[in-house]
Amino acid sequence: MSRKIRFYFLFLAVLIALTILTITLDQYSWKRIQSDQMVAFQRMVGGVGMGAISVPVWNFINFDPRIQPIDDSTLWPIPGGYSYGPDRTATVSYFEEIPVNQLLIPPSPQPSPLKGEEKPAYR
Amino acid sequence: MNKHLNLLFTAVENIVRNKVRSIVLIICLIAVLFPFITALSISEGIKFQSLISVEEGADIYVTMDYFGSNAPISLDYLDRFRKMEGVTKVFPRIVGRAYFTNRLATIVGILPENIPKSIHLAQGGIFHEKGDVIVGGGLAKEFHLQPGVRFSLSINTSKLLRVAGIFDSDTTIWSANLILMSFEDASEFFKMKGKATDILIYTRPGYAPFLAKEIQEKMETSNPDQIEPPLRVQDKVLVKRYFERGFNYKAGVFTALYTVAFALAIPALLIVSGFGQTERRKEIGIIKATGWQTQEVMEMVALENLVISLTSAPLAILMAMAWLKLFNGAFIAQFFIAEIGLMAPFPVPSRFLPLPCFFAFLFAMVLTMVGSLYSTWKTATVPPVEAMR
Repeated sequence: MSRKIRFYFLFLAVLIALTILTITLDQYSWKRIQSDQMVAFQRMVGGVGMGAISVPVWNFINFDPRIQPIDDSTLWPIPGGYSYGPDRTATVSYFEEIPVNQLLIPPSPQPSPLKGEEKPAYR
Repeated sequence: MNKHLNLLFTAVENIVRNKVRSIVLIICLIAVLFPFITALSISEGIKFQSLISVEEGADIYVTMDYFGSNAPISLDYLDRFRKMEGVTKVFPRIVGRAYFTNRLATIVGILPENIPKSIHLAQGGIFHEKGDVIVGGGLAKEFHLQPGVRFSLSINTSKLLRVAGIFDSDTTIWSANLILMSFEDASEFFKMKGKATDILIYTRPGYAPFLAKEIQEKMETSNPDQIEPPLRVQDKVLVKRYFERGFNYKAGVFTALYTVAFALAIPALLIVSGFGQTERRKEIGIIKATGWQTQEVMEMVALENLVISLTSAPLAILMAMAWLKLFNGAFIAQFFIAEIGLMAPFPVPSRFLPLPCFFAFLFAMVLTMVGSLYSTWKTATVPPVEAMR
């Protein structure tokens, strides 16, 4: 094994070890953050913000669907068409309206009388 | 075992000998993996903050439903909700938006008693007087706001506000451009007295789904003579569904764009890593002529790819980490977090999880394997004389 190969293996070992170490440190730092200011802030405001956008531009759905779960940007300029909201093009989160069943079927009506037995409506 | 080790040493020797080819290949892989790792880590960072927002938020959010959209709710509902069994806390909230000169800001109005004493601010303190507000670190930095500065916004010029405090920049990404004020001030500011954007209900554990159903059903039938628009009730289960669906990569445009990028990277790497390179063909021809089996040639190339991937994936991870942690994702974070500009006014959240990093390595392996195995096999199966020609 030549010197160059040995050097490459050493470089590779250091590189992989450094990567694992930094990932572990990053994980640890996020574990500590849990009890930090984020919790206090969100508890205070009752939960504000959910998506990868810093302000509610165009509509609220991507900023926080709790505030407005309707994507009204698809209503204009072309109704039902493509959303021109800038948050719809390149973010890493994407909230869409969750369909909630609002259909209620009432109980079946009384069977209608047989033909010829109907009473006139004015009686 | 010795044979495989020797093949590994030969593979590394090949990488070291063909410096230009190896460096170009590693740069290409880093160029492909860097945005991928960056996006995944930012996504994980925001996901983490978003989960805190969901978990620490209310159990039930109630608004009015005007023509299918959320609408302001009357404060008359507060007492009715408070009387319900299982409810521990009820408070109204106003969330709106307004332009702070050219910068869009989120306005939040809450009851002053909701502000915990433990809240840490970068400057100033919590509001004590009428008109006091706490502004986000991003707004304060951009407009040089200090505690004590008075301002008004065009939405209601008669409402004079005073900066009482400034949020710490690392609170959350959503607090950077936020103006927090008392509920009363927010009502006056938006000229919506007696109304809230939503009413937040906190319940005892396990009560939320039943209460949500009860509110939806009973409140609407409690006074049949009075015609009121329906209520929209969102409980934590629904909010968690938003969260789960919102961070599903399949739903994002990002995945589609990246699939195209990966698809384009394969032919690019095919060219870079050997296809059509006469030097490489000659090399394979020579080692075949000295008695190497096709299987051994393939193994050597696979090991070469493994070493290249093991070099480029960690390099891409370290570079992405350095760019996000040291330079706060300058220039690139705006592609993943909308409306932050070239330099984010808050620490860009990024979380490097082991699994996406492992995926990055796998992608590198797939790309290099697809780019080289077929061309190597094709060269290795022809007579050595022809390969060397």
